[in-house]
Amino acid sequence: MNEKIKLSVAMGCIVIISGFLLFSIFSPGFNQWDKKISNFFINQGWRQLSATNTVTTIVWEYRGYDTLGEESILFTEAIGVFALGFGLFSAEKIQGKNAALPPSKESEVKS
Amino acid sequence: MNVIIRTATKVMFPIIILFGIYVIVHGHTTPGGTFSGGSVMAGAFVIYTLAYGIEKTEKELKQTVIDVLKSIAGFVLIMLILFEFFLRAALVPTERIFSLWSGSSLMFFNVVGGIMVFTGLLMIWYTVAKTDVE
Repeated sequence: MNEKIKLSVAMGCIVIISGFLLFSIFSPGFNQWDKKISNFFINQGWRQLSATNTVTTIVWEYRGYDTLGEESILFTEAIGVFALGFGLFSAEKIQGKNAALPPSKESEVKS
Repeated sequence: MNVIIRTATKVMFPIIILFGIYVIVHGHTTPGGTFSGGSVMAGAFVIYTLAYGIEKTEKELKQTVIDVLKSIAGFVLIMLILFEFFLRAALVPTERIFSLWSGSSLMFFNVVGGIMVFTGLLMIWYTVAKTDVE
């Protein structure tokens, strides 16, 4: 029963999200904006910075603060995996070794 | 691991590292850049760990070295961005297109970002390799 509920929720999420994406793609306003900025990147980007890789110029110059946030995401990700792997926030580290055991088993062993 | 895998790793390891450095340093002229180059360099150490084990890998490159390198790279990245923001100056001359020494400070951004990606992936890999799964 529980597995069926989980599976149906996941399938519903997939259907809703893909429906939104397909609706936005096939709506008539998609890809019809004024292409000033992309033409500027293609025509003037390598002249301004003398770098032929346009992706790098966009990522590191025109959208530099965005990439700074991406690097901070890398920091956070590494710290999160570090904390999970070495158990920095586990109950053992915080309250001592016996705190990690469930209390009912301890009382059974003592009695 | 096998003798075959160990020998192949011993041969391929410096070549993979060199290719990663090439992809990072030439990020402003050829396809590639920070993320692809850093991932290639981290993949070399992953192969080394799979062949020789985490203890021998940590003799080559310690975890504290990785942490300190990542912190220094983040600091240098923020300093470079502040430099660009306040002085509006190009660190590298922008006359010669297609040469390595071109692109206004894009190469330094690429190098620093590549170090960030490399150390971040290696921190995750060392944590996974050191953790005992019971």
